[in-house]
Amino acid sequence: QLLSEPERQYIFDSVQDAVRIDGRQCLAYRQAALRLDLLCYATASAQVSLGETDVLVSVREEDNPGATAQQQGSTGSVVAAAQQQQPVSHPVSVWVDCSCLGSGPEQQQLADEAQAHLSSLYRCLRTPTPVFVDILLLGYDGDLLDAASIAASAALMRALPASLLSAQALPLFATVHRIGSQQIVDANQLEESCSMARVTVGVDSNGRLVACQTCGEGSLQFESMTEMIETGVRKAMMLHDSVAKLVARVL
Amino acid sequence: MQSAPDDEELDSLSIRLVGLDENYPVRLNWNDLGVQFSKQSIVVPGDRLTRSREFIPGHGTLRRTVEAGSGNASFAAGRRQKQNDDNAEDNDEDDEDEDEEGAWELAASVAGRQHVVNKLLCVLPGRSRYAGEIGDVVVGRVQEVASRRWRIDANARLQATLHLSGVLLPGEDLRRKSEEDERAMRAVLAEGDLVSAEVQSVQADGSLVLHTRNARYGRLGQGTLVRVPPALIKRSKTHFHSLPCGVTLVLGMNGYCWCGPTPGQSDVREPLASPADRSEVARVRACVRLLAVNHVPLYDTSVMQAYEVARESPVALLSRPDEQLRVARLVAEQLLTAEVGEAQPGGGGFGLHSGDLISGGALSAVH
Repeated sequence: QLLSEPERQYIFDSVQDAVRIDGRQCLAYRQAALRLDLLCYATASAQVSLGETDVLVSVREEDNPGATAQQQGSTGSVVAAAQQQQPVSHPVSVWVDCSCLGSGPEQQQLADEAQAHLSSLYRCLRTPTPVFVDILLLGYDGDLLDAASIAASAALMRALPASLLSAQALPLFATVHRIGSQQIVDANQLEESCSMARVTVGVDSNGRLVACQTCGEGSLQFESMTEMIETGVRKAMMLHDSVAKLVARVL
Repeated sequence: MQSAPDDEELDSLSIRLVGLDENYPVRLNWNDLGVQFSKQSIVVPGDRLTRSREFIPGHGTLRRTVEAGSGNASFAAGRRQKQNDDNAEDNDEDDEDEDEEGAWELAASVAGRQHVVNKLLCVLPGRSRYAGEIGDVVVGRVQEVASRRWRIDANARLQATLHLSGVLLPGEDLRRKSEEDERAMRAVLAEGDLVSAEVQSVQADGSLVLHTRNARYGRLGQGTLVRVPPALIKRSKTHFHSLPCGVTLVLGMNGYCWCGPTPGQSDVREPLASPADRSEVARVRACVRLLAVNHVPLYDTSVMQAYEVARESPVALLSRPDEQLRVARLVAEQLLTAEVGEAQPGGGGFGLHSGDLISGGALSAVH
């Protein structure tokens, strides 16, 4: 994103002084809102807005456990579908669409990067049936990964009664950015463009670290990275508590 | 790093569950505050505005011919009539007669609110791209450094241009522009820099030509940019506000608003802002944003009132929609009572409100 040098410096110094641009503390999340069951054609769907970042996630599970996607695609494969097969575990297939934000190269790059990062993070999750997670980005102001994971988890929990997926396995991602000597969570777009590096951790509801991803132009010392991972795990556990309470309330 | 116990309160993530039928986030509804529009004042494209000859068509209006004898206006009829006129010879003599006979009317070509100034009748759209007028103060971002000019994003339909001759260079009166100046343009303004400028002229294609030939315009230093709908920025004498809390606020007519700590009087390079200053800047920024999302017109009074109301709350709270609504509502009520206190009775037959207050604000809410 195009920023002037004084602006960049201002964001950097603000984070060092622990007064972010919107007045938040370094480790505070923005107000999030969750809406469930918006789409009738999806197995489950959820919309999460985290500040100006707005994601709509639809989760579809293939109806036929045991059949691969290829078999389902071919016509008249009833026989193949009825075959008893060994339980197969499938990776989660992620698709990110940024067309609501515009059709420019920046939006496309955002979508491509988000898809690559989320696919890689969701490799920790294997499902008995193929699961397709489609993410539509309705607004963007940073922290797409966390918002998408909250929405996807909420949707997957809604789909649970019909599925063989266990609730414990669903990961939530927490992204921690490092700006100067400070860590921040839930960075907005300006802060992301000033960040040196980020660590995204995926944690399941038992507190087990299941995914860890680093990205960014800067380099991190080992101690800094472990601190960021610890912060991420703590925040992801808080996210788990909140999401679980909300979904339980709806169920 | 340990965070203090009370920080954990704001740290804790609160996810709000929103029902399917629930309207979230709730924004300010001006109708609830008793603002009413006369039906005449809001128009959609095609609406007849007036048949009276005394009005000059302004922006957002078009003149069309009405079929003589019938109350209906149709473009086809107008075109037919024009063709007949073209075919007829002796046009010069017939001109006067045509004006007497052919009825015409002014109609709206955009959706918006009618605005009458003396004899000029125009329609102001509630939400449109910033068009730009001569003398407007705008805040723009440099996109490109080209030969002897900068191309600036000013939130308009086209990029704005700032010529090398339109900036104030050091030692201005004492030297001519030289080749060195051309090569050293990036030292003045580089890509990504924010600059406050004034619109010098509007080209035929609608693009703006800016200038910064005044000490108060120029590159903006530490601070942040807030983007709001241009229609909400109320035109006033000055757009540079030095607020008592130590924050400088520049409300660009193009919707780009800039908040930063007020630099000190010393000649030393801008010192780093203190955490207290940053907190104030964050608060002003949050106030501008909350007024914008609730369609309250932005000018120094409204921002200051929002600041006063929001002074006690922690700044992070001002990003929450319910808190934003609360503050915006209080500000809107105060502004309306002030407006009523000063209002002159009535307006034109076109439902003119003494409320410039209402112009951009409620209209964008209507949209």
